[in-house]
Amino acid sequence: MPENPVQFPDDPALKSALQRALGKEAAPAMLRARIMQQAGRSVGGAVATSAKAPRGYLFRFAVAAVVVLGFGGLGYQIWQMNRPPVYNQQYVFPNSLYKAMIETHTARASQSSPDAVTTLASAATLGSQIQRPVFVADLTRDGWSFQGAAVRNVGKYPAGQLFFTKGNASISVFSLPSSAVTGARDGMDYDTVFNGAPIAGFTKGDGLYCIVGSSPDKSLNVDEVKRLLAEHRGEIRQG
Amino acid sequence: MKIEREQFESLALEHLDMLYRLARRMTSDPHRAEDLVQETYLRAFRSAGEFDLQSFGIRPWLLRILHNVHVSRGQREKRQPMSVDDEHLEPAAVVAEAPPLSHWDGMDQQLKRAFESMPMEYQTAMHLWAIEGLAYKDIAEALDIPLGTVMSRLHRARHRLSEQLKEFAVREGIIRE
Repeated sequence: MPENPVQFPDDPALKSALQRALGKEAAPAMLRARIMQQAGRSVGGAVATSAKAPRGYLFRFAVAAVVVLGFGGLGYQIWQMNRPPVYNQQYVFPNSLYKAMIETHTARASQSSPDAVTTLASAATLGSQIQRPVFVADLTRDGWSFQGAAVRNVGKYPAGQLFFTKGNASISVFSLPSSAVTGARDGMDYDTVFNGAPIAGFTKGDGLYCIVGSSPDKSLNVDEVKRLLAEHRGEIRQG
Repeated sequence: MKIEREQFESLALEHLDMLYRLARRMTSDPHRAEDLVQETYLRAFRSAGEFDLQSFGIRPWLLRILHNVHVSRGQREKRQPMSVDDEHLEPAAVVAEAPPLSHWDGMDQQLKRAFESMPMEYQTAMHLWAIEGLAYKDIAEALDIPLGTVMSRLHRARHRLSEQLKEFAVREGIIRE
C-alpha cells in the first residue's frame, strides 16, 4: 500500500495517554552491567590491537581492568543482594485496598437499613451496575444468614457486596475489578489477616473476588474464611 | 565532528533505557530484547571510530543500528521454527487468555491493547514519537524511511487507535454513536 505523506499535528493528549498506558520501562540492571563491561572490553581490545602501545603500559592497563572489573562485579553482586524487591510485574495487593474492604464491611455491619437487593437469588443483578460478574457465594448452606446486597465503593472502586451474619460474626463477599491489584492473573489466590479481619480471595477474568470477615470474639478465623472461599469459589454469576 | 572514545561510550549508554524499551516493543519478549540491545551496543562500540557526531546526536544512529539488527534477525528467523523454553509458555498462555476489559478502570489497558494490536511498523513509529519524544526527522533517520512515510504511519496508527477506542467507548456506553 502506498504511504502518502499527510499532515499529523502534535497531539499532547494522545502522547500523555500513551505514556501513561505503556509506561517508561528502564533497562534491567544486569543488562546495563553487561553492556558497561562490554564497553570496557571494547576499550581493552582497542588498546591491545595497537602496535604502538608499549608492553609495560598494556600490562598495567590489563591489571587495572581486571581489578576494576573484579571489584565492579563484586559490588554489583552485593548491590543485587541488598536492593529492595521490584514489584512491577509481580502480584501486588495494596494495603489500602485491604483497609478499604474492611471499612466498607464495617460500615455495612453497623447499619440497619436494608440493602437494594434483599434476596440471594437476585444478587447477580448487581453485575449490570458494576459491569462484571458477581461472586454470589451461597453461605446460607454453611449456616450464615443473608442480610442483603448492594453496590458500594471499596476505596475508589465500585464493588458488589453481599452481607451475611451468623451470631455476632459477619461476612462481606466483594466483587471488585482485578485492576485494583497489580499483576493479577487468572486463578491467583491470597489470604491474610489485616487489622484483625480475616480475608481471602482470588482473581478470575477481570474480577477480584474476596471474602472479608469479622467477629468480636475472633471466632471467625482466616482458615474458616479460606474454607468458605474454597467451597464457594465456583459461584460466580453473570448479571 | 569526531569524539573521544570515553565520551562516545558515555553518550551511547545514556540511551540504554530508550533502546531497551524499543527493543521490548519490537520483540515482545524481555530476553530477546536484551539480546537485541546487547548486539546493538556491540556493533556501536565496534563502529565507534566511524561515528561522526552530527547536530542531531547519537540517538538516531543507535536506533538505526538497533532497527537494522532487528530486521536482519527477523529475516534470518523467518526461515527457522521459533523455539520457546517451557517456562515461557505459561506466561504467554496467560496473556493470550486475558479476558476483554469492560470498565473504566481498564481504559489504559484498552489503549495498550489497541496499541499492541497494530502492525509493528505503526507501533514502532508511534512509540518513538509518543514515548521517546523523537521528532519526525529523527524517526525517519532511525527507521531509514522517508519523512512522509513517518507521517503517514503515525496518521494511520492514530486513526486505528481512535477507531478501536471508539468501539470500546460505544460498547461500554461511555459515548453514544
